[in-house]
Parts: sequence; structure tokens; C-alpha cells
Amino acid sequence: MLGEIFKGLRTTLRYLFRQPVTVEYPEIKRPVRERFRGRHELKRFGNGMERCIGCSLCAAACPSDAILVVPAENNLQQPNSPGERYAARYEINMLRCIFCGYCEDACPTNAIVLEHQYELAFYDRKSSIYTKEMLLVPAEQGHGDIPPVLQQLDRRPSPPAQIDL
Amino acid sequence: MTPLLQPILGGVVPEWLVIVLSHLAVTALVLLGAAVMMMLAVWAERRIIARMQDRLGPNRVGPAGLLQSIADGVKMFVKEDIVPRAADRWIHILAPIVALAPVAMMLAVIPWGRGLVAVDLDVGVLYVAAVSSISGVGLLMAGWGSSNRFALLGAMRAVAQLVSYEIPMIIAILGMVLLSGGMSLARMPELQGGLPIVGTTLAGVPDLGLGWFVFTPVGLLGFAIFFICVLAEGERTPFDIPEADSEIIAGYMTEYSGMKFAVFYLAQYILNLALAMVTAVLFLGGWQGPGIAWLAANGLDIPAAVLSLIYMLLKVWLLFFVMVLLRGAFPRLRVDQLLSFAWKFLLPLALVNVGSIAIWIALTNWSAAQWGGVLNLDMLAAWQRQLLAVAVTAVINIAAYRWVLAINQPQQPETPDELIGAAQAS
Repeated sequence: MLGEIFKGLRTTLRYLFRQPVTVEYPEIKRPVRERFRGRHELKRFGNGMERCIGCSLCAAACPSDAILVVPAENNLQQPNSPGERYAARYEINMLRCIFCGYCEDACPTNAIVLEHQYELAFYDRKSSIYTKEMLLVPAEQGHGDIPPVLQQLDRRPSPPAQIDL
Repeated sequence: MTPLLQPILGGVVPEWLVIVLSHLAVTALVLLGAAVMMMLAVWAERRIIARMQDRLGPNRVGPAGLLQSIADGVKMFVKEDIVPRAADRWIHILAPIVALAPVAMMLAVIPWGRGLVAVDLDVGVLYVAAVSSISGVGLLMAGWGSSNRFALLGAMRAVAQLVSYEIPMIIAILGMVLLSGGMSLARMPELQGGLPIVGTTLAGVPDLGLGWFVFTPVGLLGFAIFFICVLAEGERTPFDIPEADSEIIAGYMTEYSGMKFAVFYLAQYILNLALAMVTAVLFLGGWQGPGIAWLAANGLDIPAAVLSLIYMLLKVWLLFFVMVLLRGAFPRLRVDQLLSFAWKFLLPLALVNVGSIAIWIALTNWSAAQWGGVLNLDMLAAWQRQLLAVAVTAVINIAAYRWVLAINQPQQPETPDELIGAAQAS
């Protein structure tokens, strides 16, 4: 009987001198995985134009109805995005979003991407609505060239949905 | 004993006032020391148990979380004081006080160091045993007065446990009283000087202050029994059945919140520490340790007192650490296991131990006339008689342990291996 008791005590004592596995969160933040699905970002092209063309496919794909897109016609002199239209309003309700990534899959221009930011706490429900200004990346962080199909601004009606990027 | 404040106030104020003020000062010191120790104990327990579970424990309030207990205290203080509508109001309110007061009273007779004892009572051991059992009344009051079935269950379990474990505990103490020939707790450490095993019987070697009773076979068995009973009295794991949180919420404390809960908590930790101190005094030599006898012999009373206080606190914290280690390692017992362990395992061992202490005393102290001619040990030196006593009592105690273990073998298969074996045999 004594042998078993001391064996148990020794095991516990050994654990006393092991390094704890705790990560002290606010001070130390572990990097997330590459394919982690955190807060959305609205991307830009290399020349600073918004990738979002206001097609609302993300809102259609969203299973929890968290995305609101209000498209508007581009001003041809100063276009916000390549193509005919852009998103005048783009809002995501973070209380509804389930971070499934379907919007990312649906987007024809790779405009919406779920990135690595995961600290999404807020004090009231109003703050749960992330507006376009909050989601859009700064102009200098754009990447990639505009695909030719989006540059046919003078052609009407709109280009067919089959876009090969 | 001269009053503590005599050197400062002597001659300035009347003699009776000096005595009253001195007693108040000593009381304040002891209670303050106990409260500080309790806060440290809560912090230490939470930190150590956290490390055993691969966690960090409280580390936000103050350096390394040291002020966590104070923050908890402040939180408790500002919480609402709730008395359930169905509760027996006065019993409910009085219960924490009845639980705390005797525990605080225990501290009066415990020697903190050489010459550092608040009251040198001639029957200190008896006083500790008597007073520590009063807090059981407070627990039953809490359980009954809350009018909550979990509280009542917890209180009944607590009282059953306290009453059962008091018996082997007191028999273990009885052995030490026989061995030391007195009931004064303050005198116990003085008898535990010298070297391990032979104690002070060997002439001509320096007094290392290591002749603790735990180094003798009778003391070791007494220590084991007493410490197990201390765990049960203090409701420590694996004997935390009265407040088994996975079964009966928090036992008798279920309906308590705010300061009343804090008082229960305080009582429990002070009880644990006080019982650890009594264990240290009875078996681990109390304030005895290498160097104290030398300092005292050279007239350095104050350094000796400080060193003895350090030794005492080291032993108390070591025992407290063992309590925490046990809590980290073992699960809770069942009630039937708890009671059968007390009555069928500890009690026979404690009784055998009293017998072997009687043999020890006869072998070391009796003259040929007292033996009545049966045995004549007068020609042996004191240390030879001591070693003979060690050998004889070691044989008796080991045989008793094996015997008790054998009669406690379970009649029916319990573990999976045994169950499989029994199934295959039939």
C-alpha cells in the first residue's frame, strides 16, 4: 500500500517542476495557422483599386445572412473599382457571422478574405457591425493585376459571369 | 514569566496594566501572525497545486500574485450578506464564529520558537485536543441552520469524520504524552534535542537538536497516524468529503457568502496550519534544529529565538506542502472507506503503538528492581538501552503494520484486475 502511495506522490512532485503549458494571453499571443479564418478583410488590386465589384455573391453565399452589400455604378472618371459597379456599402454583422468562409469561396475577384485577426469583442450590439471602412485594407497594401475582363468598361451589357481569373 | 512589555512600560504604568497590555500585545501578535500565515497558505496552495496541474495559478495581483488573498478578502467584504429565508437566522449567523473561535484559541498554547509561547499551559496537549473538537459544533450549526439538504449532508459527514478521526489522533497524542512524561506542548521540543535515534543519551557529542521523535519507530508510526488524522480533521484531500464539491456543492458552506464564507475559509486554513504546527511540535522537534543549543549555551537568547522560529516555520510549511502534494495526487475517499480506515486501520495501529511506547519506556528507564528481576538492563549504557528499545519497537510496529494490512484485505474483488481474476476463477 505504501509503495503505491509514494509512487503517486512522486509523479505529482515531478509535474511540479515541469514548465506550465499556460500561455499568458494578453501579453503573449500565439500565431494562428496559415488557413485560420478570422475577421474578414476587403482587398485591393496592386494599383490601389478596390477588388470588390459589388456583385453580392458573398451575401448570397452567406448561410447566416451576415453580409449586406449595396452596389452602385462606378463614376467612370474616378472609378472605385475596375468593372461597372462597386460596393457603396459593405457591412458584416460579426454577431451573425459563423466564419465558415463561404463568402471567400463565392467571391469572383478574391476581394473578401478571412484573415488572422480574432479579437472581436465589443461592448454593444451596434459595434458588432463592421463597416466597409473598417474592413477595407489601406490603398498601399494592394496586390495583383486587374484581369482584362474587368477592363472592358465600354462594353454593355455586363460581362458574362464566367470570369477566368 | 515576565510580561512582554515589562522592559518598556515597567515603572511607567501600574503593574496590573503592564500585564493586561502585555497579554493584549501577545494576543494581537499571535492572531496577526496566524492571519498572515493563512493568506500566504492560500496563495501557496493555489500556486503549488497549479504548477502540479501544469498551470500558473494566480499571478496578476501583486508580485507573483502574492496579494491575491487580499483582493479576495476585499471582494468578500463588499459582497451581500445573505441569510436564506428558510434558515434558522441566529444559528446561521453564529456558526462561522463558533467554527473560527476554537481554532484561533488553539494557537495560544503552540510554541512558535524557543521561549516564544503565548501561554505555557501544563495541559497544553489536552487543551489542543479538547478545543479543536469544538469547531465541529460550528460545522453542524452551519449545516442545520442553513436549511439546505446539501449543507445538512455536509455537516453530518463532517461531524462523523471529525468524531471518528479524533480517536486515533488522541491515542497517537497519548503515546507522545507517555514518551515525554508531560502534557505541556511548550516542553515537547526541549525533549527532542540531541542526535537522531539516540537523542540526548549519548554523552560527549554536541547537541544538534535532531533527536526528533519521528526518527524513532514509535514516533514514526505515531507521526503517520497523527498526520493522517490531521488531514481528516482539517478536511484536506483525500478526506475532503464534507465539502465534496462534485457531490454536495460545498457541504455545510453551501448557503454562505461574503464575510461569513470568508470566516469559514479562514477557520479552515488556520486549523490546517495550527494542526501542522502541533504535528511539528509533537513529532518533528518543533523549534529544535542544529545550532539552537549552541546559541542558547552561549547566552545568545534572541538569535536562538529567531533561529528556532525559522526552524519551526520551515517544518510547518513543509507539512503544509505535503498536504498540498496529497491534494494534487489523490482523489477523494468514499464515506465507507473513510470510516473503515479510521476504525479498522488507524485505531488498531494506534493502540499497538501505545503498547510499544510502554515497552520503550520500560526498556530505557526501568531499573532491575522495577522489572522485578525478569530483566536486568542496569549494566547497559543509556545509548545501548535506547538502541535496544529502537530495535524491539521497530519489530513490534512493523509486525503490527503487516497484521493490520492483512486483516484489511478486501473480501470482495474491487479493482478491474481482481474482478477479472474472480470471474475467471469461478
